[in-house]
Amino acid sequence: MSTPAPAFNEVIHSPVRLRICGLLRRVAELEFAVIRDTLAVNDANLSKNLKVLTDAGLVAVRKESSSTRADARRLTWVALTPAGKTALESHLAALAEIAGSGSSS
Amino acid sequence: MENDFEPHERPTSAEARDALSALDADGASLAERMVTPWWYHLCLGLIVAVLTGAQALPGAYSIIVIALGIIAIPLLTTAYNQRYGISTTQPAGPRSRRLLFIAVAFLVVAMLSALALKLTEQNPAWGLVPAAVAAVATVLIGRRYDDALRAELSGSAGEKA
Repeated sequence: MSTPAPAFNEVIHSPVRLRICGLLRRVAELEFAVIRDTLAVNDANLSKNLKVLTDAGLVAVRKESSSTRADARRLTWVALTPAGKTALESHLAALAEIAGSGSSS
Repeated sequence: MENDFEPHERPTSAEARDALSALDADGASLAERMVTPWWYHLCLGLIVAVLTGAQALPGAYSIIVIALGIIAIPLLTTAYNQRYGISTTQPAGPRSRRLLFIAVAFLVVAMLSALALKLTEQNPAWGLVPAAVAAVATVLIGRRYDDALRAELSGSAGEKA
C-alpha cells in the first residue's frame, strides 16, 4: 500500500472523532459499547460524533439483532467506509508531518 | 473538555504528537479487550478438521459434510463477534499476516492430501490423518495469530496496517 498524501481533515480532527477512527482503523467493525467503553465516553457523546462521521460518509453504522442479549436490543456495529479509511490515513500522515515539524505554534 | 462540535484549528506539533500518542493508548486498550475464549480455536480446529477430512469421503457424503463445515464457520465467528463486540477480518500487521499465510498453507496441503487419498481410492479412514494435522495446526497457529494481532493492534498509530 502506498503512503497517502498528507491531508488535514477538519471532520476527523476532533478529540473524540479522531479516537473513534483510530480504533476502527485496524478492525473490520466495532460494536458501539466497545467503542464507548474503550474511549470512556458516554452514549450521547459517542452517538453525536458517530452521526457527524456518518453524515460525512467516513463511517458506516449497521444494526444487528443479538440472541446473546436477553433484552432483545440490537447491536450497533460501526466501521470505517473506504472513503473514511483514505481520509484517516491522509489525516494521520498530516498529523505525523506536523508532529515531526518541530513547530510549537 | 474540548468541544467536538466546533471548528478545530490545525494543531501545533506538540498537540499532533499528543493526538498520535492518544491513538496508541486507545489501540492498547482495544487490544486488551480482544479476548479469545478457550473454545474458539478448538471449535475452529474441529470445523477445519471436518472440512479437511470430508475431502476423503466418497461422493455425496463429501459435499454434505463440506457444506455443513462452511455453514459452521460464519456461525462461530458471529457468535464471537456478538459476544465480544470486535470483528476482525484481516491481519493487522506483518506478523499476523505471515501466520495467516502459514495457516492457510497448512490447510491447503492437508486438504490436497485428503483429496489425494480419495483419488487414489484409499480407505477414507486415512483422511483422519490430514484432518488431525489441520486441526492441530489451526489451534496452535490460531492462538499465535491472535497474540500477534493483539500486539499489532496495540502498536503505534503511524504504523501501516
